[in-house]
Amino acid sequence: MEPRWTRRRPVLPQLQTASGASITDRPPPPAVRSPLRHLTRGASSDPLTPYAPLVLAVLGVVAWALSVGHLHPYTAGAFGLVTHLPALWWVGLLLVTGAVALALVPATPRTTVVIGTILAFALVLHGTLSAAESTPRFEAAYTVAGFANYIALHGHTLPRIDARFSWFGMLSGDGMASTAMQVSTMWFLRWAPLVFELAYLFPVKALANATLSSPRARWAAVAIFLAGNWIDQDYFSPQAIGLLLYLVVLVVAIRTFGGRGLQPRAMRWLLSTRAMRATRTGVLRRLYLPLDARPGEALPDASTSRARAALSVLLMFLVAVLVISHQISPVALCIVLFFLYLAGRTRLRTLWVFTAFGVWAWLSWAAEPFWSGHLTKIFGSVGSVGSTFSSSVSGRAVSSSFGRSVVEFSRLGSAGLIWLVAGAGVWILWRRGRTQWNLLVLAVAPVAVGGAVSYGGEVALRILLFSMAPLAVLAACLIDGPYLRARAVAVFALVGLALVVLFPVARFGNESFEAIAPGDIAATNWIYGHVPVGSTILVFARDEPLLYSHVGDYKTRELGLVVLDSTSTIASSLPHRTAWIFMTRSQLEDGIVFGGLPKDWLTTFEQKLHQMPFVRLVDRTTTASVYRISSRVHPVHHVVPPPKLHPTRPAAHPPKPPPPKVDHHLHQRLPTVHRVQPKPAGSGTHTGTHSTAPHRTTTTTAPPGGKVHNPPPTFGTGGSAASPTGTSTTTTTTTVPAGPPPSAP
Amino acid sequence: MALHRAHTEDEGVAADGGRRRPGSERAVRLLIAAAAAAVSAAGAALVLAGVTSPARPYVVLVGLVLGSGWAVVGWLNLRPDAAYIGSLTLAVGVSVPIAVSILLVLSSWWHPVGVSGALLGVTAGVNLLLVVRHSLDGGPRAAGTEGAS
Repeated sequence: MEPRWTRRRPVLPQLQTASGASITDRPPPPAVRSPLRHLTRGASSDPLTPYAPLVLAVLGVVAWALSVGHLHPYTAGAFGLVTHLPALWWVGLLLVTGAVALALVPATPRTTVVIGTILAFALVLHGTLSAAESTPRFEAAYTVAGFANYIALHGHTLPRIDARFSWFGMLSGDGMASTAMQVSTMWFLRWAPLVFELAYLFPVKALANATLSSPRARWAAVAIFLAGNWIDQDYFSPQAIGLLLYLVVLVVAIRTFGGRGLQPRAMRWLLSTRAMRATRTGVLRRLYLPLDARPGEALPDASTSRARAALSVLLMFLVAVLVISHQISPVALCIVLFFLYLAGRTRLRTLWVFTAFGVWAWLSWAAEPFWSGHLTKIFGSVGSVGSTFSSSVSGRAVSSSFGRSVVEFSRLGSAGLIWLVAGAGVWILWRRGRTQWNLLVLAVAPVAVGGAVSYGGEVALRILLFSMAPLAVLAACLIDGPYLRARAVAVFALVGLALVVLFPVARFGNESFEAIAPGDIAATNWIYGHVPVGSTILVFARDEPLLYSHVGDYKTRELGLVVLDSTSTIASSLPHRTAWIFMTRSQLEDGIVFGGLPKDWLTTFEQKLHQMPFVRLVDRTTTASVYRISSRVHPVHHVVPPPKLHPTRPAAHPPKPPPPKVDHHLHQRLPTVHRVQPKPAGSGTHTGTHSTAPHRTTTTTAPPGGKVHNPPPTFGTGGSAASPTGTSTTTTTTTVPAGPPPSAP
Repeated sequence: MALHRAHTEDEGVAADGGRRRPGSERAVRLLIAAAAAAVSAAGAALVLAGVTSPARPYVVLVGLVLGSGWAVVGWLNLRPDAAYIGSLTLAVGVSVPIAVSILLVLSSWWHPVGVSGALLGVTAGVNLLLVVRHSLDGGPRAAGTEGAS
């Protein structure tokens, strides 16, 4: 299809370089003679040849599927999963990358072929972790599932427990859908990254359709987006849905409501001043750009006034949902819409006001528990863009281990590369007489988010996330236009290849501590079944799935670097009342990667725990362990009431507690977990290795007093009996099959 | 793919100022509306009847997203670009159940199963109306009646 603007403007304007020479005087460079051109030319003679990319893609997916079974994500080290990827996986990646490249050789790729190859590409890049890991990954995803599960069970939120409950839109939607679907909220977790990536491709393609002229470049933008988006914010979360809504609102704003550069009056006056004009001319000349380039975007969609009115209402509806679902996405949307308005790129001149009002209103009304008393924390770094970026970019690059540094630098490299090639794409297109102000605003404006909100070290990642779609489209500008330049094609191909090669390092680099093993979940289920409500649970770091259910039942405290101290120091820092310690493989890796701790720190820490008479190992799986800290408070001097579980209950005749609301679908998909024998307290040194007897029987005794949840059905059977004194004793007998030698801890 | 075909400047304009949709595009819209109505109706039946089935999660999810999304976007006269229409359908389809659940939480009237069934039923009905409309009068007028301003 011939692009509309080329029909409207068949003759290129006289463009001037800094030296004053007209660049349209030069004859166009010869089109690239691709070595693969016979594939497109032979389309009519051989009907199967155009489908060669599809065949390659299928072969790649087969190789990928065969390789995924050999991945061992729970043994990943500082490099992440990349050192564990088998050769067959790389073959699969090579094949699908080749398939995408081959599908993009024709100027107008076949829709079915290019869609098939891009689906395969997405599956290999973004489906590997989902396919390789038997349980969903990432502790934050479990927390989201836990919050949604709480709303599904109770129908209300807990904003005092966690600030994220104040933006509960996505959580309540998840809760409602999962209840109607009769599944656990964890059902969504495993394949969410792939599903979200595929969902993002719609607005990315729509954005490319609105700004690029050649079908090949539009599809190339989609592929670049897939290869460049290593940011790992596509797990099942409010921000994942927020990004989808963010992109869709912006696409509609520049497409159906696109402006043609008519800025607000004040802006026009500012730009018409002599100083601004001189600056503009000077900058363009320094960049060797023509002074009279024209808008390169497509004309705004023709639509009826009724359709535009309906779309306006729809956009306000989407913005409202976004405001209630996520904190930072509507702020970014507001900023970008404001800059689009300033640049005259959208006719929706008040949508940014509506968004800002929505953010303010929701923050004032429903999110009051979030900001009351924390204003300094929220607005403390507002305006300090430099320090925010230095903490989130350069701070991350400094790492304790070589592997981690490689991962961080690959991420910086990937991000830098896509910014670089996007800049080159804009420059080349501008040199040809076409500007891309829409994409420039969409890509650059999110940087202001860094100065508008206080979001800690993650803000650079979020900015990159918001900019990724327009950056991918800008990168595809390199190969946009009626004819291709050999150098541009070569640069584009090299950058694409580099992004693909960097992707496994950047994306899978956190897998050592972000993978949640089945053993971690089994230990969490043990805690749900045996640890009284209201107990304090000590962890090293929050890389554990403790919140995937029973939100609000436990208090969690991080031990931090106390774990490295001497036995006596650790003992003195542990609570004097009954508490629990929960250690997992993911926390071990977190300590190694981020804390710079020795590789055996967890084994050493556990040895110290075993030397304490009041600490006892009560549960151990292949990747996690649970310790009980007995109360050391003297009963005479400190009368501590038992945990209040069911108030106003008489002690003499304790009624049976009502069965807690248990999500019976929660454990359906959990795999079998090998549970190992916990060693008795004070049994001397603990090496961290385990017995491999064919069958082991573990008997654990729950603490007296307190409510005890139903043990999860996937492992263990047991009974519970209430004693006449109101305390309960639960004995759980677990018989587990033999398993492979467990890994650390 | 019919939906992906973009309008061209010289496409035929009907005498009344509106532009007739090409037959293939109308067929695709009709097919999508019919599929959305069928999935939504099936989801509503599964939810309201309390049927436990391995297919229930998928049917209900597709019904909630595609059904509610197309029930809104299907009435808009948008330029026939599959990516554009698809992205809007997805966004609306995700947002409608979220908005309904927000209302349930804010009103402290948490009845997720019944409300989801009702939502699926309503979207099935609206999509059915779209099917009837596409079948009877050849669908809504396409974009371009007033042009871009």
